[in-house]
Amino acid sequence: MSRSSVLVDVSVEGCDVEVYVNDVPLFRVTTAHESGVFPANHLIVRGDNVFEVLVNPGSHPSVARTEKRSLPGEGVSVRVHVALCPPGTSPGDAGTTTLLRFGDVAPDGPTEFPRAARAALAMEPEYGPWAWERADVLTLDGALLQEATKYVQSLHASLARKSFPAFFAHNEVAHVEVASAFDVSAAERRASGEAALNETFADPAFGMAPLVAEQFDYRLVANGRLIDCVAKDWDALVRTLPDGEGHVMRFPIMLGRVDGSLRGLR
Amino acid sequence: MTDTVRGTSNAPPAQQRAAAVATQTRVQAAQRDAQTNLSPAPTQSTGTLPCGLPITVQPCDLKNLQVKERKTARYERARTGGESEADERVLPADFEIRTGGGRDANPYDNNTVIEVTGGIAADSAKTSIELVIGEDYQFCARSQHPHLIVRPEGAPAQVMRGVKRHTMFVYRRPRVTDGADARNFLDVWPARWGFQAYFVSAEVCGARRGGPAVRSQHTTIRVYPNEQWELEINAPSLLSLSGRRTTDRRTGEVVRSSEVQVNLPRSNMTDTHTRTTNASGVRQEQSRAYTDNRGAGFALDRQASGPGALGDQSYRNIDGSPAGELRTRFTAELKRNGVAVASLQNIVAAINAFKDLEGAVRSAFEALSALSRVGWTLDFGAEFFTGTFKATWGFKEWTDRRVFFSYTLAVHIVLFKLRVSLAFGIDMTVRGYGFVANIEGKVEGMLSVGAQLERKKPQDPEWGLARYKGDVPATLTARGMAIEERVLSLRGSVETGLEAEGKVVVDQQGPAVLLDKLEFKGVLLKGRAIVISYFDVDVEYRAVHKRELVTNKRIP
Repeated sequence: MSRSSVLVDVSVEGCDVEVYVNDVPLFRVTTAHESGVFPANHLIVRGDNVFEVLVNPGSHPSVARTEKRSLPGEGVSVRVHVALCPPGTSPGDAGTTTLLRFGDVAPDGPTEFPRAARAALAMEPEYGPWAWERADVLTLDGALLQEATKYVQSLHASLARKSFPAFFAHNEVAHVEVASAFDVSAAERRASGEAALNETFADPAFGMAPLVAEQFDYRLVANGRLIDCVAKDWDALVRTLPDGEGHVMRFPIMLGRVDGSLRGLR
Repeated sequence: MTDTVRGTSNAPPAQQRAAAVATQTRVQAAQRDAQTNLSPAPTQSTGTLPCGLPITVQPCDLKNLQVKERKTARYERARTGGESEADERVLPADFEIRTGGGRDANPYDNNTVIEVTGGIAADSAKTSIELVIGEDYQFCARSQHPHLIVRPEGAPAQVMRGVKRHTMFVYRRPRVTDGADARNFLDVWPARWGFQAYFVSAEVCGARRGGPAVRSQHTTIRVYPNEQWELEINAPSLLSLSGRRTTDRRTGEVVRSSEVQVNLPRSNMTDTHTRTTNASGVRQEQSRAYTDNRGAGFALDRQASGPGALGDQSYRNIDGSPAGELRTRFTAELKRNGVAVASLQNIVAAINAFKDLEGAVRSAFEALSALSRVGWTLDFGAEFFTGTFKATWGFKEWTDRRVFFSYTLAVHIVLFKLRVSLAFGIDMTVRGYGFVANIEGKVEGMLSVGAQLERKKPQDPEWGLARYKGDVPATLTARGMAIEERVLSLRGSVETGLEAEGKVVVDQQGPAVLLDKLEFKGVLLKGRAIVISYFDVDVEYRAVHKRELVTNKRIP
């Protein structure tokens, strides 16, 4: 039986939020979604863990924290519920253990955004430590951007030529660590991933969307240890063309430098 | 020019020739004019009259035919509401048929149809018609003229010789169901019954001293049904339901309870039925109460201990206390000329068919349970067909010679009021990965129809129609559940609910509320399926397909 997961449950009113765990972006909730729940085991570390919501972040990821805007504060609120949940349950269900509750209610009138609300919790997880915890602290300079871009292009190319092994190799550390975090067999996980992607490759409409340099919007996260290779629209840079039903598949990339080279760590 | 007989002559001067030609032209024109304007029946002085009698010296011609409509005092009292409307014909009414009269104004031209309303011979309220032949000259001395001929449609003509004045009762066309119970709506809908015609002619010699003779005048008297009908349906609720179903997420046990109150128009009885069933299908308790509109009746209680077991059952009287709370929930009254008609059930039985709607709406929501493997609850409450439906109809005599079919229809009906709270789980497979979504929320609202239609004068459109549209929107929220390293990120609100459209009509079949379409919008989930570190992919999952629950239903 799989182990219990740390689930972050977020409900929003009148705002968009981006949720971080230990400064790693976990997921985004918009007013259209109203709420969302997301597992966070793979970002939990031994010791203090910081859970954070950024309310009405900047217009694109690289300026999420820095782009200041004055917006009406009326009706803007966010509630966060972090709980340890057995399989098949969600925060608030019977059998779950609440770890944290926090949130933010914006004052009425013109309010400066983004606003951040955070809470810390000391934990002793039975998994980890993770490679990204010991990754080098990066500097977002031209050399790093060039190196990250090559990585992105390489991952994109592996998918374009429908090679699951090549795709898997790029983020192998992340894939294996995520399996460990959720107590899933790494081999089974790899098999499931391969089957899913081969199904996608077999679609006659399959094709990779071209990389568009203007959309690149790199940012440093995890207190500078990871570079989030994300697009200005908050989605992954590497993505397929829409399939016959207009659906797009996206491949997130967060890189860290371990043992001198950039690797996909989340 | 040469005249071979008289020898050579001189031609007349040109001026004289022109004058002669002009004179000849004038004479020819006068002759043509005289022939054109010659009386077709000039007074004769020799030979025989058209009627075969030898002409003496007496001219014989008529002036007009007068039709005088009367109704008995009983008739006036029987009118619905007892009040005549401002634009109705003032009785007694006189109609004059005269050659050269107007088409829609008194005096009326020869052959104009006069329309009246009337009942059947058995009715004490009657319509009488007096026919009077107006003479311009004294009619033939031998008392054979005038001839007054009355021929009811479908019957032999009655020829009355030497009769200048005649009074008769006129009746509408009889129906097989006269005096019996109405068997269908047509039996109370005279718009399709037709009219009884009486062909009336007045004939004389048509001999007069100069000028055009009249000789005869004709009219047709059409008698339309005089019944004034009134239908009023007051429905606090034809049917109300409430129910709850839940499954235990862990044990899978189904717990179900429901209460259904069905109004039975036939006998004003109410059937209350409560039941609880667990997962193994064991009926644990069942009770039914039957009461009439005075609260009298009996209850049947049943306890069962196993699947299919009849268990112990007992009857108890429920005069007074519990069943007294069960109201008579439905009243319908049909009146003919202000008097209630007993044979209502065949007509309102059509309304009973509306109960089908309940099953359709309920099944739409219960279908959700088939999707759920996670556990679900459904709280269902609904009321159907509440409000009032009031219609009046019948033929009325307009101020002139015409009769028209008049009606009013006022509808204020809530076709249904729905309150559904539900929560259910959906599991789906995306790219081989299993995902789970939880849906919960309410579908709450009502579909009401309000319309007024009327025809109060002949110029109004013959039939009336008012369209309506409505919807019962939903506020379901969808949340993805996390399963290990994968999760569904769903948009919060789910598109669902009910939509309806139809019309309120008065047409050849009668007054009615038509429900053209009632549609369940289905349940559509939109969002993304996320497998951490691998990918996320768009998901658009139609949990329940859009479907039409009801089409083309007519009430009553």
